[in-house]
Amino acid sequence: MSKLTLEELRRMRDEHRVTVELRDSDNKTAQIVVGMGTTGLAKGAKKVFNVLCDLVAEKQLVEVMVRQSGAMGHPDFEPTVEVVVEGMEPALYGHVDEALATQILEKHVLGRTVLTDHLVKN
Amino acid sequence: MAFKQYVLICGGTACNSGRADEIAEELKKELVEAELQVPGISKDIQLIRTGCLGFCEKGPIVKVLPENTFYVEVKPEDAKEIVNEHLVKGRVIDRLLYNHEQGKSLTGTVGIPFYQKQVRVVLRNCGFIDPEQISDYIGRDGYAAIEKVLTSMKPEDVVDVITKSGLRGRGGAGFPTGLKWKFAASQPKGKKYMVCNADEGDPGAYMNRSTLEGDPHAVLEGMMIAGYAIGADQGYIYVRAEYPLAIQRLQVAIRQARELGLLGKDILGTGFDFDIELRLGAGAFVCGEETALLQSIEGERGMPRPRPPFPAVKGLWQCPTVINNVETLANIANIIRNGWEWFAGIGTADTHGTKVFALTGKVCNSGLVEVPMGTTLREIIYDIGGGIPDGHELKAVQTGGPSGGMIPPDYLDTPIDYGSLAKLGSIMGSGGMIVMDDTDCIIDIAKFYLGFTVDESCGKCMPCRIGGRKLLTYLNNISEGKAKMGDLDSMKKICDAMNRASLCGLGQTASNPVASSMRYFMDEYVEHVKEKKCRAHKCRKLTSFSIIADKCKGCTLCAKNCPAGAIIGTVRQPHSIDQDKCVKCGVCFTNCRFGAIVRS
Repeated sequence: MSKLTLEELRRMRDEHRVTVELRDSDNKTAQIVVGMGTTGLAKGAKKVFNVLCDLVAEKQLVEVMVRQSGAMGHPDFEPTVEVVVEGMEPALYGHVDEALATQILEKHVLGRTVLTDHLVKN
Repeated sequence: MAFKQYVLICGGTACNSGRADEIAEELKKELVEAELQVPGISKDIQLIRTGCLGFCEKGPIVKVLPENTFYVEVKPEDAKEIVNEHLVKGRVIDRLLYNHEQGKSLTGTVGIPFYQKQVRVVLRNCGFIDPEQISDYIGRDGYAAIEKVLTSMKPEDVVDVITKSGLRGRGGAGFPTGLKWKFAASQPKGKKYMVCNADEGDPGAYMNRSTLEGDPHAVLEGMMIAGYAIGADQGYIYVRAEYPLAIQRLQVAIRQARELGLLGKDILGTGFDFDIELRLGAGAFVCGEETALLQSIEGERGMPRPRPPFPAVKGLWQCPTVINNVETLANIANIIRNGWEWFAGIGTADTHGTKVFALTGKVCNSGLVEVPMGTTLREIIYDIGGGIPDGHELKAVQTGGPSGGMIPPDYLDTPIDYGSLAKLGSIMGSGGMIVMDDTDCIIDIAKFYLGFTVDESCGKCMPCRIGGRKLLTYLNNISEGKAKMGDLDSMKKICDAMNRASLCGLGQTASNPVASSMRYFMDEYVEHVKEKKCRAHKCRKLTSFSIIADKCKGCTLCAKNCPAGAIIGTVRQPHSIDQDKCVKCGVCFTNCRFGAIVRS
């Protein structure tokens, strides 16, 4: 390891700031919850969780939390994903695959537009 | 390289003694096992040994981020479920949540009363970062303060900011930090030293230990800023040898800082030189006193020197030296980054900022607590501490360790700051706060503290060496029913003499537990002396144990455990205690399952 210059310290700080802010819980304004019900897991809920985590990390979206939960009570619609963005109504999506998950992140969480066609309907 | 989930396991000494090390090992093992279900999972999850989260009563603590699930009283056997249920399937384990009987709180600390009134700024990184990774500290604006100082502030600017912030020494005396730095800075240029007092000798105090274990870089950065402000290029951290984990974390932190050139010569290319070495204490309480500490670093026996000259003028090896407590230093970087106005906006007019307290004793939620100055004793003991367990009544709260005083319940609404505690006859001290209930004897507690300070007295000056010993003798006599009323007046005189004539803080304050308890609990003293009675049944010679024949089932458990063979009786017949043989140890009382043994 070599001794840091001022610029190197600043760069290191910016890089690691993202690392610790991704880990933090106090700075989150949006939550994406991926249900891990038995049916969902069989249909690839884990892959949905993984792709969302990877996208958030890649785009350094430190205010977005991606987490898992148990079954959400809609086995016919699994994999289900709940999205809670500050200032918007919570939304529950059904039959989510990796492609839809990417759409949800970009259109709903970042673009603040609900994808009504994919919501779970009772 | 990002992770999907983070599992933080408290790595403080207390949680380690609760097998936190094993919990971490088991989690690692279970993650490897879980690869069969979820390939790649052990790379997706970061296990972090973090610093003290403060909720020590409920340790070991395991936190899952970023979702902020807070698990309490975790055992190594729980690791399998944590991995397979929570990390793999997202199912939170209810039974491990705080207060799971009443309904859980998923959002970590929101539902936990212990944390509601706390303002964790000194402890901001404890429980969140890995203290052995300098990159974690840097990511949390670590070393941004020293960067600001070296690139845009002159030494006198730094002294000015710290002075304006109103920061006062957190080691106990509460001396204005900016003023101390100014004294040293204004000494002629030459060799100067910056010393961190990490001796933390007060029994029951572990605020500094937790900071050293959980966020060592905060202390290093504080020392660097101080060194720049006063013109010192060498720092020493005097840490007690009884803190092996703190020492290890400091060694790792210093090594990592040196590797990056944040300690050493020409830091960040600004021409500023500063390095830090550790010096270990060897178990003497008096070496927490600043001049005795300096003697110890110099290789001499730890004995205080008369002042003046003060260390800021003539300290280590006769050079200007600033000695600051760990918590004082842990505040410095925050003040530089956030501004003196931010710090001055917290707390009271008399005392700005926050204070870390070690809340222990007869309280439901014992642990490490950080609150703004001005928080009342009632809020700390009841709102944060959860009150007195088992239906007992609060008798007194002791602040300031062996140098402090006992405060009765009448003053619970006192806002805590240096001035208000001094008015009550106590001191802030380093932050130890011991809660006592009706089963504690005031004389017994005073005896404990005097026993400690008499043992630790260096013996150099007469008021402390002889006065302390006399006070202890009087206290022993009182607890054995051998005292006279005149003794109480003699004790008052000795307290006054020790306070005014002792050479250092140890002697000057050693009488505080006696003086303050006599001020508020004189009736208990008189009861011991005149009636030879100890209402808390703590003073052995004033307590007698007897067996109620009606309740005794003759199980012989007491007789079997009696070390003096003082209990007579045959199986299934009521037993009795021979008072002449009884040594008042209380083992029978603790063992009896039928409540047949009483104290009077």
